[in-house]
Amino acid sequence: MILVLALMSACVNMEESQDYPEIFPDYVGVTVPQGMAPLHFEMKDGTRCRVQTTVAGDTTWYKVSAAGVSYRAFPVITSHDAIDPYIAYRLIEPGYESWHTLSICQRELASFKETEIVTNKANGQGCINCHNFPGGDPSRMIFHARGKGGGTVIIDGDCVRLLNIAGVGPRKQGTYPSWHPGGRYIAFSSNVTKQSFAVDGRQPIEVYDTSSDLIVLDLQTDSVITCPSLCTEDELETFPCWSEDGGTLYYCSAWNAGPEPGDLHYRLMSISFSDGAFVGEPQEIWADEASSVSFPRVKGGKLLFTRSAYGTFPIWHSEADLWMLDLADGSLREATELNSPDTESYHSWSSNGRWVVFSSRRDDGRYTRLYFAHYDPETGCFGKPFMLPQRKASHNSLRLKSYNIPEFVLGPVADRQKEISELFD
Amino acid sequence: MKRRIPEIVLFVAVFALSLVFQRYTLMDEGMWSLFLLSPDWFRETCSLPLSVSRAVSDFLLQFYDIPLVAPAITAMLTLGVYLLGGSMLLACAAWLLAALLPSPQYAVLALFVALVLRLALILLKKRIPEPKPALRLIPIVAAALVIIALPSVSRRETLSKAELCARQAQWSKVLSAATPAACSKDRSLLPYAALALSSEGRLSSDLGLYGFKSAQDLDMEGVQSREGYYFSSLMYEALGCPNEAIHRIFQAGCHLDHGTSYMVLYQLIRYNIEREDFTMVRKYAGILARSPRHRSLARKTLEVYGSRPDGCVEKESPSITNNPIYNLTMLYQHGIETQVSGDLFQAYMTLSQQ
Repeated sequence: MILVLALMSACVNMEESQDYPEIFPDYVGVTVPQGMAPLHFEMKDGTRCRVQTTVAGDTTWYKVSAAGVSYRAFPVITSHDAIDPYIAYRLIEPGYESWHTLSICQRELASFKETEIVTNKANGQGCINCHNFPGGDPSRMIFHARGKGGGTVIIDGDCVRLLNIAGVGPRKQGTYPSWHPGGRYIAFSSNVTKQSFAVDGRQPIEVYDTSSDLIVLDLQTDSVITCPSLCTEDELETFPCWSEDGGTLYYCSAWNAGPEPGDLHYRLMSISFSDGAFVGEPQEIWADEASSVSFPRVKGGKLLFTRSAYGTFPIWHSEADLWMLDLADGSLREATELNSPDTESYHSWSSNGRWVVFSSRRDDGRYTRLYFAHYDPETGCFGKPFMLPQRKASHNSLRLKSYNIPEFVLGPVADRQKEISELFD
Repeated sequence: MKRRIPEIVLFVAVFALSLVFQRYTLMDEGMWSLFLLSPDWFRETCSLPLSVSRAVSDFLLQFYDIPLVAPAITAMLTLGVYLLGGSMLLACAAWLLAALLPSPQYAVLALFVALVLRLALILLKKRIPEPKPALRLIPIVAAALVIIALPSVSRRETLSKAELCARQAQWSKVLSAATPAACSKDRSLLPYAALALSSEGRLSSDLGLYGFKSAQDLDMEGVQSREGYYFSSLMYEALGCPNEAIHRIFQAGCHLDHGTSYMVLYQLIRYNIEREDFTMVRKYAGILARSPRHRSLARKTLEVYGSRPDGCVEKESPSITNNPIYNLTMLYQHGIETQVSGDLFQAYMTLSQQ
């Protein structure tokens, strides 16, 4: 009885605030897909809060009370645009030259279930990176396994094999991949990458290429297709990305200005591709002498890319932001809805082009987290981004790993860890 | 009472010897461990072999930074193995493993084995025949002699003392461990001696006394181990270079099961305070607050730096190389100069000319 009275008295004495609550993650006013895992959050200052939800149509209203204050209810809009049910990403310490454990994981978006697709236990703690799926097909996947006996692991249904791309054709290893929509080809950049460590200032690391070219792997013949204009010494070609019809390869290219990464400004380029061969000469799509383009990703005639001041590794550049180019009319705009004062970098479109997932360091400047945003093709605008929900909100700040290379997947990737491990025995 | 003498002797011997011969070793081990009440910690621990004993061991290790606690835990574990298993040999084997590895993990495992043994005996209604008390003292004496006499135990203790005291800038204590005689026996102490001497401004004058022969004796550049990277982080901290200290301590973490430890987290907090990146300070303090042992200190850190705005800004900066002399020159030109950098530069120049 006393407890009930105390509670009632607390409710009566609650101060009403016209402000939205300051919560982490910030889910105020976001648009989420139907069936997304529940949005768990906490007060930014750590105080306990009570949440009441009411649903009105497609909007869920969250009324938060904390520390004697009842905040203004905030809306979360549910979109009927479907999202691909899974994402795959790599978990890695945001470190320097080495690592301890790396894992490529998948996460079911309707729940909090995260499972490992592969870990670097499979290849004796070597590096595993650059996972990719053709059109989000979970039965087909590639990733690179570095180190002794390494190569590119290709999963195609029940077949799991290891291919040393550097052992065929022009003897160039594969780095950043893009799987052709037809499924037969995979374009790779082949990069020689260096790092430098800054003595002072906020940005501790610069990662840059001293050489990079583009190659295409033909999975039917295990041969490598090259094109002289994509393997030049004077130019650094990287970040391949196929158009939706597979007829064009977009990529980034910079004049190899020498050892100063600050002088590297990558342009957005394209080249036609037909019947297993490149056609014609590369075309410059967009360039700016004072900035650099990374990670072009095309969907529905829109090309989303990362723009940074210079260089080829925007994750360490706090000024890196997402920009969108309309391929039909060439208009360019900053995706301000997605950007923050800190880094926005790797991104990918959902299969229907209505959602993007991207990596951002907006929370602490070092540990990359994943954000989703709804895209409305009618307005050409994104909704407010929201962080990948976790069972406990604190998990986002406790996790000492960065999320790396988020890719949408159309279903769960089967457990092939045993077969993958056997490739390295 | 007479029957209890071996048990009392066992507890006292383990406690006393751990305290005298392994005080810093155990504290050091505790600082390099990690127990966090977080989902990732449990998931990672479960994926490791012998995960239950490892989890119990990590839970205990978090308290090892308290000088009297680590010997007490070791003594209690050893006594527990004896009381449950009824075998002095098993108990002393557990003690030796705990002392030589050094980690309580195998003592915890021995405790589980002893427990199973005890349950089996109860079920079978049998008893292990107890030797006479005097006979039971023999394994204790033997184990004690091994710990006292083994050079690796004393070497590890000296190095741990240098490691821990260097972190707290207790240079006289570092030099009391890294004496010229100790350095001649164990050359891995030389970089600690160099750091302590340069902090006191007498490295270039004492080069001969300590037997520094080459530039490699002054640092651990290129030593790609936890120990090497940890030392480098301290070195770059002393050179006024927190960015590089963070780089090195991150690298040290890559050699650990969980990719980090209390030591790594504490150092990251320190270095980020130095570079005024208070967002990262709060991040690491928040993680440290998930350790039952380190919670209170982490919370104090959060109170102090809870709302402080970052002072760390983007700026043009030169890069660190693998050449220490070039690095020191570049730091000087960049206006970063400390007591250590001047003395160290002179020492590098002297040794490189020899």
